[in-house]
Formats: sequence, structure tokens, C-alpha cells
Amino acid sequence: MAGQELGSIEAAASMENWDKINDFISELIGQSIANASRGYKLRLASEELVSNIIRAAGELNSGEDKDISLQVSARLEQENGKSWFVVKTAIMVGILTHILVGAIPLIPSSISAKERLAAWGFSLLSSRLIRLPMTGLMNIISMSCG
Amino acid sequence: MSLTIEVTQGDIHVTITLSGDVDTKTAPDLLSKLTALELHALEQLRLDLQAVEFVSSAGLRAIVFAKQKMPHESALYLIGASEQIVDTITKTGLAQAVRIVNSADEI
Repeated sequence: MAGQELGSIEAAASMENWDKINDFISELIGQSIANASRGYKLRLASEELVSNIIRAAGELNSGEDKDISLQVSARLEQENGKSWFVVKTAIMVGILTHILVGAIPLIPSSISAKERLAAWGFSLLSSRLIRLPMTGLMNIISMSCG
Repeated sequence: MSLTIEVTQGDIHVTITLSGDVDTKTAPDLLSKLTALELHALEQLRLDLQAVEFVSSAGLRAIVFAKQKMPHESALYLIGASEQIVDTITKTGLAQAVRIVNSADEI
């Protein structure tokens, strides 16, 4: 299956970027799909998909410190003599995660083994934060260009 | 694309003339205008879609909202909708609840 990359965009999955993401897809659809009806249907599907992802990202992010971005790419695929316009979305999630670092040297040696273990565990939880990027859901929609 | 909404009060009907796209971002504006109308007492609502290029599911929900709030015997006209918009309205079954006309002269 031969393919041609048309472009990609990545932006924070929020309503502020809704226009930017949808304009990107609409423009590529307009350039690649001559049939107005097919282009309209693909735009409907893309708009629905992007809107649902942004809405879900908003719910996922409510009250928590997450960094969610939406990556959208478009390409033309050739299969069985037909040309297909393919839109692919991926969600990137960066979560602020506790890293376990101890303050073991500060634990006094005079306490019991049980207390030392508890203090050790507490010191492990008193941690700083790092950002861990994660790749999440991926969606693909396509429409014949013919 | 943004959405321009113009509300005109007639004798027995209200005409809402739309221009632009009715999508996830702009449909709340339309919903807000519809909510401000006294839909429960309205005989006829006319949505002029001649200058509308795109109606997403959010736009369809706004139309369904209006129809549900209007009296059962009332009429909701969609005027001058494009072939693609009519196709979507027909496939979703919404065409059974509204009256689709090419121009206001047909009403």
C-alpha cells in the first residue's frame, strides 16, 4: 500500500485549539477530495472525532494536573487502484507522577525496626514530581477520494 | 468559520437567518438564541440555512431542541439547506420532524 503524507498538527486538546485543528483537516480535505458529498461526510466525521476527543480531554483533565495534546495527521493511501484520504488522531498524555526518593539518612537510628520501616516508607512518598509522556488512544477514519 | 445569527420576528413566526458553519463551537450560540425565544408558544419557526455550509451533530441537536420545545402542531421549516445538509438531516431521521423547503416562498 503506497502512501503520501499530507501533513500533521499537534496542539493541546482544548477548545482554544478547536478551530486550528479542524481548519487543518478541512483544508486538506478540500484540497484532496473533489467530490463535495464525500468531502462533507469526512469533515462531519473528523469534526465529531476531534470534538469528542477535546471534550473527553477536558473531562479527564478536570481537577488534575495533566497535559493532554491531540495529534492529527492526514495521508493519501492507494489500495486496489483506489485513493483513500486517511485521518489519524493520537492522544498524548503527560502525567505529573510522584517519583520515589528517600530521606533515609535523616531517619534516627535510635527508633525500632518497625518505626524505621514506617519512616522509610513515608520518606519514599515525600517525593518530587516528574513528567512522564504517555501515548494513548488512536483513531483512524478514511474516505475514498474517487 | 464563525456563525452569524439574525433573528426576525414575524406575525406568527420567527425567522432565524444563519450564515457560516453550525458546528461544535458555534452551535451553543444558536442554542442560546433558540432558548431566548418562547418556543413553547411559537406556531412556526423558520431556519434560513441558505448561507450555511456545514451543520455538524451539534447543530442538529440545536434543531432537535427547538422542535422538542415547540408545540406538537407547530412547524419548523429549514429553508434553502444545501444538498449535503439535507442528506445529513434525512439520514439521521430528522427530516420527519421538520419541513424542508428551498425558499420561503414555498411556505
